[in-house]
Amino acid sequence: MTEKLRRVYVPMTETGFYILFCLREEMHGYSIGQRVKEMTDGAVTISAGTMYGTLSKMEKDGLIRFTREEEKRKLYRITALGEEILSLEIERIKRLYRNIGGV
Amino acid sequence: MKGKSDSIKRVRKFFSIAEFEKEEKYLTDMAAQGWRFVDTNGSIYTFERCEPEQVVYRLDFSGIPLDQRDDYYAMFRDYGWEYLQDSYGFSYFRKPAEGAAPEDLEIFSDGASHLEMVRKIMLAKFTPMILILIPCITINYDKMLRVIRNDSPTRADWFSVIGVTLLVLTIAALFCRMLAEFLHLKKKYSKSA
Repeated sequence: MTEKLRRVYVPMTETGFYILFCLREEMHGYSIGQRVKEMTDGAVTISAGTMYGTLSKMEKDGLIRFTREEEKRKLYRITALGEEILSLEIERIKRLYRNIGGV
Repeated sequence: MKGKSDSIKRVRKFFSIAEFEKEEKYLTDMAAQGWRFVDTNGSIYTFERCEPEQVVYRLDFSGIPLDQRDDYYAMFRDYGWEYLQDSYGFSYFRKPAEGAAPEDLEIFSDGASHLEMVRKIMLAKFTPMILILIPCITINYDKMLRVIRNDSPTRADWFSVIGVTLLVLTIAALFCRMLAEFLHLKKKYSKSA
């Protein structure tokens, strides 16, 4: 992983984190948005433009890859590089949680 | 300005590239008054009579080539946005607003992506302006120099100087408005964050 990617993606925005987290399964943009809404009881919304822009950027940076098309929708999946960045983020968030007294 | 019949209205209106939020609001307000947006060519807005409706309009500046947008339109459609048209790089979207949660009526859910759009607009619009400006200055350089040094400038020299000055001022004014919009959005999001 390059230093530049690490700077850009660690720490990550909540939007970025959830998108990457969801893409451990193959999904398309709208379904990710729906999943994130469910997971957060509606607290986190990812709008269409933000979703499209984030997916494009993550694909360009090699964190996710385009897998196939389904009725014009693009489906994506996380790459090995994406997994690496995601686990860095998960470790960081776990540490944060421990330090504020969580278990 | 009235059109051919009472059910069509054409309005001459100008929004600068920095006024996309104002334009969204204008179209939304028109719909609430019973005028549904049909299309625009950038200066004339066409509306058709309708029952007053609660809809919102949103403008995106994606920078995606027109022939590579299948998945882009598909995503907005999935989210409930009706794609209307493109004009000068802006894509126009509409969504029914009645009973919808406010966050579902936005096309950007965080500051970074909204600012990214403003950055795209600035890059796409100001690059050609600067590219026009540079040869204008180079070609007229001698003439401008004669005027500045008061080295017996001719009337043509003066015209060149005035022309280039007007161009520079127009671009500078547009740039300032754009910058103001950029800072306004930045402030808006840093407050809500």
